[in-house]
Amino acid sequence: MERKEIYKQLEEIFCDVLDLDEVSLTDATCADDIEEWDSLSHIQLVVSIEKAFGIKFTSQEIMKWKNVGEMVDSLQAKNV
Amino acid sequence: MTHSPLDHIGYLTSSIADSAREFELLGYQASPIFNDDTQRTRICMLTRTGDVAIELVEPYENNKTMARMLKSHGVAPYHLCYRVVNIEQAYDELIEQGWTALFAPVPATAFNGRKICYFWKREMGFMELVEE
Repeated sequence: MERKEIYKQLEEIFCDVLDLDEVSLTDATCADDIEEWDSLSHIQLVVSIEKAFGIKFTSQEIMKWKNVGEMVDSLQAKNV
Repeated sequence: MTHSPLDHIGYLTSSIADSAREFELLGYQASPIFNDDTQRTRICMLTRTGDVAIELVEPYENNKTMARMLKSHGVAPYHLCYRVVNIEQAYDELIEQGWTALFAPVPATAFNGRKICYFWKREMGFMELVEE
């Protein structure tokens, strides 16, 4: 899947999980940029992303991401 | 971790007053309510002789994440908390077992400044550790 398509799908998931009207994600977007993105909602995002893309992340992956770009890198590494 | 006793069951509620009233009918005694500004929750411990304690957790009005959990799950248990002697050592052990840490150990108001930390695992849900 193209990176642009992954971003489009992630933006839908972020809006749904974090109850946002709209969000624009970039490689540099991190939890500090979105008030609703805290450690607990991070897990809710992970669960929704895994379900949407049909993949499973390892705990090492989940804890190492510093921004959305690294999250997308993990998704692409799983050939979504 | 294999011999760590269960300290309490975390119970998410929209109203500590309403839930505590029901638990008191079952013989539980309710502690005073603590405000935990770090977790943005109000906490009340319920105890009954010979039983594991229950921690009622009511999110602050601005705690949207837990409000969403309440909306999707309703009033319900949502984590188990185990008591550990050395929380840093237990933290490393759980990471080794594939748990995802929500945050590193931090002092908690509801536990007189004792350290707590939270974990999640796909197969188990949420787990809390509290240092003795």
